[in-house]
Amino acid sequence: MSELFKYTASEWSAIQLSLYVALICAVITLPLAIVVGWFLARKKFFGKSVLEGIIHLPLVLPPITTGYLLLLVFGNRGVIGKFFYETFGIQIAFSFYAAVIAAIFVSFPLVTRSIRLSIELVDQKLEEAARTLGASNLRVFFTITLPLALPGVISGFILSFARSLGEFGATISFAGNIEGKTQTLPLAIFSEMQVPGQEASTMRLVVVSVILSLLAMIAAEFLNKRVIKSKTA
Amino acid sequence: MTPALSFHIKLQRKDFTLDVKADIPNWITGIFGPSGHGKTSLLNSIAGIVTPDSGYIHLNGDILLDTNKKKNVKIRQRRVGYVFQDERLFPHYTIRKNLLYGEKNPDPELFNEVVDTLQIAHLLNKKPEQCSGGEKQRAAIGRAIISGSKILLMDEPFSALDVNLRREIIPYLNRVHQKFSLPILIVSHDLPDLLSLTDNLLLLKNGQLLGHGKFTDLLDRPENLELMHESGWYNVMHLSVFAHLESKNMVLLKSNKSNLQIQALTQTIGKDVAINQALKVLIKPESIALSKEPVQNISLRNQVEGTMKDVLLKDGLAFCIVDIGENIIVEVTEVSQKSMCLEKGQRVYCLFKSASLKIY
Amino acid sequence: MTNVVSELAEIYKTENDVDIKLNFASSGTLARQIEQGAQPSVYISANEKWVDYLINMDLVVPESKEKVVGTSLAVIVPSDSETDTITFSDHFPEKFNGRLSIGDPKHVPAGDYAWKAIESGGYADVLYDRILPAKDVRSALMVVELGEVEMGIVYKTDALKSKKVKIVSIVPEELHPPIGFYASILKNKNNEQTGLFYNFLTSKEAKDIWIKHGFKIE
Repeated sequence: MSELFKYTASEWSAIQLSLYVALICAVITLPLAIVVGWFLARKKFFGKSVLEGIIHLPLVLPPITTGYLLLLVFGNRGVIGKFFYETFGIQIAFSFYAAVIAAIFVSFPLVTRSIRLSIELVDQKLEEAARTLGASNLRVFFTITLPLALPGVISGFILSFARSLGEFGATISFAGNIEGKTQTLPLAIFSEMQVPGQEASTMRLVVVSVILSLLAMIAAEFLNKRVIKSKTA
Repeated sequence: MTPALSFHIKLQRKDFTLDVKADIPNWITGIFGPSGHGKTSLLNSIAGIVTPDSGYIHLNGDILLDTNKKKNVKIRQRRVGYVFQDERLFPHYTIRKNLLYGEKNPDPELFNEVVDTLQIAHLLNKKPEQCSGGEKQRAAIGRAIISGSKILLMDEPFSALDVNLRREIIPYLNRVHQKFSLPILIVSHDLPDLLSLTDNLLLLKNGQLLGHGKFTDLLDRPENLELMHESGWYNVMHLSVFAHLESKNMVLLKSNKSNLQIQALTQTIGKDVAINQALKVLIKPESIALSKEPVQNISLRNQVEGTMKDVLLKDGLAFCIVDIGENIIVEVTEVSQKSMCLEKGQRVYCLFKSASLKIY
Repeated sequence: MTNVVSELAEIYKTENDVDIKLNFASSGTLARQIEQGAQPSVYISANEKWVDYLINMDLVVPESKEKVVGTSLAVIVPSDSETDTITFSDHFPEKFNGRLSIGDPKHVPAGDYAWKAIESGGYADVLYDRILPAKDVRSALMVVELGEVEMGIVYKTDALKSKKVKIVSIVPEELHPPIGFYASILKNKNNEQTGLFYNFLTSKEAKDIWIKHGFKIE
């Protein structure tokens, strides 16, 4: 049985890579989602529904489609990728950065929704009161809106982390399945699954995947409860 | 005396146009009118939450708004202390942090004085949800003062609290005005509560200013009478405690300026109220009856002598202005007024029960 | 494979009024599916190894294993590349920058053949961390089409189909095991219907179609 749980170097590599990608993705996605979530929650503007539609696209598109679209845009001949390739010689696709970008795109709509909802729940009358007391818009945001929306922000962060841990379709299309560079946990599981006789390896990776996701969800619950507790102390 | 607040505001609302021009002195001023007639919009305009279609607002000589000069100072720079109807204390801050929100480093003396005056010292480390309605209201007032406001705006400070608690806030407001010399503008649809604080009123109906001045002066004009009558008006008499008649459970109240003297039930005032304590005594015009002679063998404690000054007739009612040392209004039926020949100059006696008195 | 098999299935359907359902994936993936319980009638694999694997599991009729067609490996570049022709045996790794797109050698036969050729050519040490493993041949081809890599190795038959790539070399056949596409019949579905389609795949009529798509008939 203990033989079963001896993790090979490449398996560790996949696990570490996944955690690294998920963390960077969550850290980058969070501030972006806060800004966008705030605009969607508080402002009316022309074309708002269109923006909402575009942001939510990765939620409903098959991840493989998202990956393909990312290739078209960020690939060497894509609108954005071309600039990077020709000016700096940087190839975005099939790299570690591609794995992070794929993770950001698929988790962004989730996080934005969560944050937007929790900002909408913040009583605007409190924000108004803060203004009469002399607070600038930025101060109102950081001292009133954000603290009161904190549970949503935290869940958003964890959601982003957990979603990237599980991202497969967009990653394999846009970042590829390069061991040590882009082979995240889900990709490693997929690879092992294709080859008969690799049940043990597959199982080892699946166990880690399940545990990581569980931990992420438990952490989210715990943090949420703590925030609620501190507000009612 | 230069007014503390001077404004002319025109603002189009859904059902009416708000058009008010006034100069507010450094006193407590009440804005009275039925609900939904523009009082809150007026406060919101002064605070900057709403921008009027045209007009100007000057506070202590500073221009907050002048549509002709295209000047519109932002909310956060106006130094207007707004105490909202729903207090709006920040739930995630302690009371202390709430108080310090507008000014992180206030003068320690000022801070202590505010906390003392409003008696909120025991609340400083609590969160708003651990405080009662009255405590939250006082904290909201304190927060506005400490933030360096030049004027306090209060929106319906009485309506959130139940009847008993309402009177609690009134002495605090008086003290605040005296101690910190801040002009206070109070909006309310509750005339007696307003009158317990101030005689200076702005009357607002359908967004229009019907009158501005002392309550007794406003009574002279029929339109004002009608507005106040519709809203449940009161007479206000300014009296002091003269003596406690303990055996009778009554208190004797006298006027400093005239011979006016009234008996009231001890429980409406309180046993512990000191001699010479100034009080406002309110009574509804329709709770007073008139007679041409003193009446014997009647259960009423109060029969006050006075002279008829004027009579206004409307819809079968006669509003009689009677001078009993102060002007009061007595409402009787037109029929009675005519049959008793109650005319100008006639000596009359105003009869009312001690129980009809509201005392602040 | 996809195009030619689809065409063959269409013809068979029209001529015999029998509905053919097709499932495309890398051969290794398909073998796993069958092992896990999938029940096709005919299994066409891009190498012998997977058919043998299923024979060992007693899932495939041993005598039904038959090599239907063959092909070669083509080295490809994007159609607008400056490279025109190269010789695989002559300093191959220096002929391109960055990664080489091939199928994942672990489960894609085309990738397996390509890697064996690289090993035989003596390039394994240099190229082992320059591979971009694709999940199937189609993806390997697409990456070259998009210009994400300068060079790739796919079946000649796949390379011929794409207008966005051009063939710069055919990998010498001695460098890798012969590429054969093998058809086989699943034990569960060993009946007359299956047999008819199976025979069709090697019929004269089918042969013309295979050749048209660039396959070699032995």
